[in-house]
Amino acid sequence: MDRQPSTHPVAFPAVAWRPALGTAELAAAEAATAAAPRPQRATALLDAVIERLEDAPMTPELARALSCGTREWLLHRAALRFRPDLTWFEANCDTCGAAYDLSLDLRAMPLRPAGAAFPVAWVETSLGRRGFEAPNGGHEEALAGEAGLDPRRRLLALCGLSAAAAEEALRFTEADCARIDAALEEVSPELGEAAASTCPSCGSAVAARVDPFRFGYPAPRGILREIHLLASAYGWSQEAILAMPAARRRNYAALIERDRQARSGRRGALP
Amino acid sequence: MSASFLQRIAIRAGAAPSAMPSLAAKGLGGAPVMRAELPEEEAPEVQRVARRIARAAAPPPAEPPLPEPDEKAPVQRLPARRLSTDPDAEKERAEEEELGPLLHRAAAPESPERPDKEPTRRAAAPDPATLSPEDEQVPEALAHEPPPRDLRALRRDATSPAAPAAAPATAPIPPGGSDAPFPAGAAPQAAAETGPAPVSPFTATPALPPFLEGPAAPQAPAAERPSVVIEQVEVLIHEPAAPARPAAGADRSRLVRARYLGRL
Repeated sequence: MDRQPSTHPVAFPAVAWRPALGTAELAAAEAATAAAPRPQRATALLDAVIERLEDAPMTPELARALSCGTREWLLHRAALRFRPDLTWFEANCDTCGAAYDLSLDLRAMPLRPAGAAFPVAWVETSLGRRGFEAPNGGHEEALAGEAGLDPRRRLLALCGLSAAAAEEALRFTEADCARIDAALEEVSPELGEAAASTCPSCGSAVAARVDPFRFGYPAPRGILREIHLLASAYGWSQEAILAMPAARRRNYAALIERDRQARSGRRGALP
Repeated sequence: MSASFLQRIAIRAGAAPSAMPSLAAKGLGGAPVMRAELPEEEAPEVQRVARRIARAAAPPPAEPPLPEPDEKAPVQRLPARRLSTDPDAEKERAEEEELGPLLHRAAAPESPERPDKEPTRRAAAPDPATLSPEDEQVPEALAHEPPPRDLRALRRDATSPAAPAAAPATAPIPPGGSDAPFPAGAAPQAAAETGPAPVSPFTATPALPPFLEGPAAPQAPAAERPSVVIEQVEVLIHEPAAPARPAAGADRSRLVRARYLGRL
């Protein structure tokens, strides 16, 4: 082994979430909607919502070191913290285009545990016995920033522990690639990422990705609107508003809106 | 899902294309950041009222089943609460609840075997040509009474076209797709297709939209068709009050009429 694996060795680490204050919520919302590739957004979001991981303070570097499956598991858990009651989803049939609704329990998404050798898989290849680490967030980010390359061989170059991994990734045969692919799948934890069903309109089989970035996190606009309401009504600063629990901020905003509606209703009732 | 493990990672990272659509939270119509609608309070009041009236006139969409015991009442205001995380929609729903007495909808008979997990066709509405008041459920107390004729006419006017289809099972695809320990087409899903079953981590049970099939399904073919009935739609028209002015001429006679009617 020419280099040590960089993937975090714990597949499902103990998580200490940040308190549900406005600061964390706004940071998560901005991370989720940033104009960046998904892996970069995932790193920023995990850094925004997780305080400690296995007693280590959360950092972007630690978020990158987590295996891809671990990151998806954490992203789903983070989404459940923001939207715990979310069970109804919608998608369009890719055959007939009709919209359909389905009920899905995000807590029940199938989760495959890591293999015993996690985070490293050893594979007999045509070039000899080679070690590969389970793909992590850093690998995903590197992959997202490159276009035009064969993504599978690029991942083999990134995950290979050999000093000549980049060069060997181009020399592996297709059979080597398939063996390494299967070995990495066996050793890596993974969360189910799609839901299969049958289109109620045309009867064809449909599958849809379950991506928490599509539904799981708050939008900055709503938070900023509540900040605006509280700041304009009470004269509080943004820092003070974001320092309070998100639920309290939401309640204050609802009260202000109710008062405003009541006032506008009274004005409308006047001749 | 036939993509290999590394291909799935590449797809997630955006380095490889994927034709698979993504689920969105129902009611949001896509990712929260993708919404371009105006917030509810920024929309004109007229549009909001128009939307509420349009909703009242439209057939009710497929709703998740509710366990309320009074759900079998043939005519009632819809108790179902559509799941939405959109604060604008929540606000509008609260307003709608305040105006509850103004909007009456008829709840379609609930299919007794309908489980919770299943895709449902969106807003399927019945075919007006196939609707018949005789096919609708009547309370036991009114079972022997003929419906009023004007109500029949209203029911026929309040229908809209579309035909429903049966809905099948849903299953989260386990990691690894068909090669994984829990293949999508294996026993769990097959069991789910045979009928309602407890929700497990790998299966979801099928269900039918409440208005697609009812207890009258085994009867005549016309009875199998869905029916949506709007018993009554009341529209509150808000007019600014006229400025006060001294009563004279026609106003005086109006006042006399009002007093007369008040005595009655």
